[in-house]
Amino acid sequence: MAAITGVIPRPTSYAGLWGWITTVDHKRIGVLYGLTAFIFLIFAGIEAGVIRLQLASAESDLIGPGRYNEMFTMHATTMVFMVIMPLSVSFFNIVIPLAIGARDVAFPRLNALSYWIFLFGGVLMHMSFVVDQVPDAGWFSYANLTEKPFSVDRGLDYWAISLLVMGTSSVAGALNFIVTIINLRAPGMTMMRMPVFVWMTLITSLLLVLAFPVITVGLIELTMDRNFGTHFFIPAEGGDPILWQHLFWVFGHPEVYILILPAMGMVTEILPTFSRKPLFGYPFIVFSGIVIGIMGWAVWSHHMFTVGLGPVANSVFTITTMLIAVPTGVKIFNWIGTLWKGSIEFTTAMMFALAFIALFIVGGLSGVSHAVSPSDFQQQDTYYIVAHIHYVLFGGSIVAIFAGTYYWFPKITGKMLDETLGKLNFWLIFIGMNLTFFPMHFVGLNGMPRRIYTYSSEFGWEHMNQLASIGYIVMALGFLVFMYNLWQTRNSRRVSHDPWDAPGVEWTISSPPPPYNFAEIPQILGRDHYWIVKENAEAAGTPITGPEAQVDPSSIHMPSPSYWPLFTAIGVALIGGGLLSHYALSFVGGIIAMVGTVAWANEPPSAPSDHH
Amino acid sequence: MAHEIEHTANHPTFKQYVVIAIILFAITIVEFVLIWERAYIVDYLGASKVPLLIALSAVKFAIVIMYYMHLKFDPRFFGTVFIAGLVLAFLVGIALIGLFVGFEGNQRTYAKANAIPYVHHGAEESAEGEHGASSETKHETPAVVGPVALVVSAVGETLTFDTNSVSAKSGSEVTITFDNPSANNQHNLVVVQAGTKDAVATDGTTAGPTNDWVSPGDERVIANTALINPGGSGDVTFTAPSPGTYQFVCTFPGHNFTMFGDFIVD
Amino acid sequence: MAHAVEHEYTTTGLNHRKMLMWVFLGSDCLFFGSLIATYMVYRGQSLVGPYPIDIIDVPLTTISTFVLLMSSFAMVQALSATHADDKKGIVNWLLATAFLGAIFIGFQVYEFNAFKNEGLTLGGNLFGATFFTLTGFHGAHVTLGIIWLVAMAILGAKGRLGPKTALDVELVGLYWHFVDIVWIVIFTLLYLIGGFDVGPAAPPGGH
Repeated sequence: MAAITGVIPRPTSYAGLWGWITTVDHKRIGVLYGLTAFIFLIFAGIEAGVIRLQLASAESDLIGPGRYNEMFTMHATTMVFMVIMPLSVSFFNIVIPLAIGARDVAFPRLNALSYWIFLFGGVLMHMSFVVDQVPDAGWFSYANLTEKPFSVDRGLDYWAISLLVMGTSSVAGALNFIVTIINLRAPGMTMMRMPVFVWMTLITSLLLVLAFPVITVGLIELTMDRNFGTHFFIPAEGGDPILWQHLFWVFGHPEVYILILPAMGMVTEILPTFSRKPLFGYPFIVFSGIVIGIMGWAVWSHHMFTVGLGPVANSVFTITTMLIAVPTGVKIFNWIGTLWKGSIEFTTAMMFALAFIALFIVGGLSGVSHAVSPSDFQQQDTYYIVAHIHYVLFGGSIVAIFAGTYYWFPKITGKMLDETLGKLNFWLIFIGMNLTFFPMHFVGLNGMPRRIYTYSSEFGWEHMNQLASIGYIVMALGFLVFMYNLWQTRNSRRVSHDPWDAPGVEWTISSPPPPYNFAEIPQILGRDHYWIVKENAEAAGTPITGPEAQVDPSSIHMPSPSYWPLFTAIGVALIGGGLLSHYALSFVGGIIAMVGTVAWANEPPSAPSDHH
Repeated sequence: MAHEIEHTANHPTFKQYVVIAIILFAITIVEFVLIWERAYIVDYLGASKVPLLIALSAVKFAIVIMYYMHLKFDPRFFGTVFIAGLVLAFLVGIALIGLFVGFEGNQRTYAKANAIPYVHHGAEESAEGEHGASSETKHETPAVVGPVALVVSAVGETLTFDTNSVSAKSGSEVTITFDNPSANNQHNLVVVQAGTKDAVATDGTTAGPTNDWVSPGDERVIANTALINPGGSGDVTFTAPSPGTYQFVCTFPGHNFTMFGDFIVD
Repeated sequence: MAHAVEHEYTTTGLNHRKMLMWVFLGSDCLFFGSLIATYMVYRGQSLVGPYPIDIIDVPLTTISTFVLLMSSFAMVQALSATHADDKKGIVNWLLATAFLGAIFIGFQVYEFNAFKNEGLTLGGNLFGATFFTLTGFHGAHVTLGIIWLVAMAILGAKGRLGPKTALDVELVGLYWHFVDIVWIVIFTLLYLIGGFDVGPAAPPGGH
């Protein structure tokens, strides 16, 4: 394939749109992930808005049941796979190499490939709206509702194929971060000196590579049932719909830890910075994260307590689920220990981080009540579960992502998000979130089932639902304030490389960092490396006043940009798209992916006339 | 700065690789012999061949990983990540199998009840096929009163009879014709002593399909049809017992909860 | 790939790509594990035949298992040849591995065809569904491996494989051996043990 690489030389320029399309720079890829995920957040938020509008009054007929099913299915699917996960990956991309003292991830082109496949997979999922065959069987798509006789249009095929495509992106990305974290830490950064966010990313990535294959098999079997005549989940032919549930939740439970561990990691970085003291109980926080990652594999059937697995299975999973609350509790106590006697700075990032602790505790408490299988018999499929989900995923993950955004925004852009707008953002989100989801505990225990498009006024649920819908408006305002905050940074002044006086390695270099990150790979002195550096410098009478010096970029060899990740991603996307339209397209996609792979493998590290 | 460790020349030699290959072949031959009818070992082994085969395969598995994949000589890290995935896959697999086979009890009887034996193409063996509509007659004392013909039918797939009460005069010769127009379900109709329908059904489950889901010699059973396949029909003739209320029920596992009625003898 | 890349810095001294391959193989264990679990859960649950005992041909598949084991031996020789800078040996052993893999696929194709003629299809019963899906994905993995091996053989013929680029051969070797050990598991469970399943009338496990 030297012919191809000879004819199309490897690009070298970072400039312009083409620079972004061929980028292999983790910082840019992180920004791409973040922007794309934010757009999907708006879609999923609109879907939530439709749901809340519909449920605000009893016996409403704003939208019909079919459309309602599509709304909650797409809201959840989008939020889980196209918002929270890629936002987490956005932070992995931006922060991890900087936090470990590396110049990029271990496989920069694979990193780019992961982004492009994610983008195309997300677009593929939303093509279902264009053809108006939207998935409508819930984000967990229980069989055998999802089989062809009951879900006739192609919505479920869009769902399954898009998730398969996005799954490859997630696994590729996770593999990349595992190797990066293990193998690209700067000298002196032992495993037990890594920032907790790096640890949580490692554990999350291990969970990703191990859990995704299981749902891949489930999705393949579902697709085969729907399109190739098999009967994996069809009872009349001997198949068992429960197998789908098992396969889904063996993936699904580690998935929720994939959603929350990065968030916990971010919060764990922010609390010490704004308490002006080191993290309390670092080894305990690390080990409890590891324990959560391992035990997360032993609890999945708590999503299936009401399926009829029998008392033995239910008891086993009750016990394991109750046990997994323990390591989370350990983290919470260590966070409190970090705050204790600290001199707290109530920046926006800190307020979101503190809110995370409180809201996650609420979600965790309802979670513990679900763990007890007899009580779950009442709670299952009611709004009590919806409340739990949103306290841990919104009050947990989203709130932490807000915190991380306010915290690391200055590092990646060199500008700060406005603190006043930030506080307004915070209060709108916090109040709105509680207004929406707290009442759901009550209507849920009062019997309001999930996934109903309307309810009779006789049940007395209307007031709580109205409250919840008002809360949505408050949250939406909060998001608008955030978007305005982002927008107005165009004109705000630059800030220093270290606006928070933070301990992490990433704060030693300029904001935004140079393309090569570190002119010299740092020698890590300890857990709170930069605090140690700054203290030593103070003590020596030469306090740090600026970032590490920059050098001429061409003196540091960085991987050149490349077309092949995008090219190969197009091939992968076409394989998926072809399965949904014309099989010939899949064949073409396969050829493209193979050509892309070979060309990728054969392209030189950089073009001969390399310049940046 | 740690540079890549140079690849150490810690390889097995060509001869050792050949020996390993021969060991792998030999184990495969042993496995084959263990299951080969002509070797007759399989007759002695019975079910114990399963753990033996698994153990032998595990040995092959380990040899390939250790030597061909070089894990024995490589830094431990590689083995750790791979073995972690392997162990997790194994545990999750065992858990899934356990959840289906171990705890679900009667729910796995659908296949047993509905499976059709396989007939090779061109085979002339008289396949058992489906049960024909067999009539079982229990003639006891000649009818004192005139014969009674009753017709009861299953209703679609709803697991119910189309009537919840039939009656006959005591001592009459009763013929119940039972129709099964459902598409997916086998049914029977069993006349039993009052209040015993569930107990008879429970015992019938143990008795199995070859006994038409009725325990042979069950004294609570007055009469029963054979197991009727979807679309089929069958009948049973018996003498109506002494006056009282009896029950009729379908004892196909699980159907007794909804598929029953009263048989009133006056 | 296949360039003499200057030694890059690593924290552990281990190679990035080798680490990636091992973690990926650990992940692939879960993939095949789930397919195998599906097969095991559905043993004895098919409603119609053909059931395994009616069509599984253990002697034939034992031969194809031998072939795959031999291909792993050839793969190991290819890596040895790479370390020894034996250019002809590299190409020959890589091609031999690919060739033996192709013979294995040939056996699979023959078997799939024979089963189809006997009435076993994806949609016919659960045995067909689980058997074809599991062995089909394994066969797809083998096929991708064959393509990779042929590509490597082409590189070898161009003289681009040798002690400095031995890792590239080692990586395809790890993948190939993994595919072989997955087959060991499949052969044992689906053929040696499961091959005697008689259908739901008799208990699975075969007495």
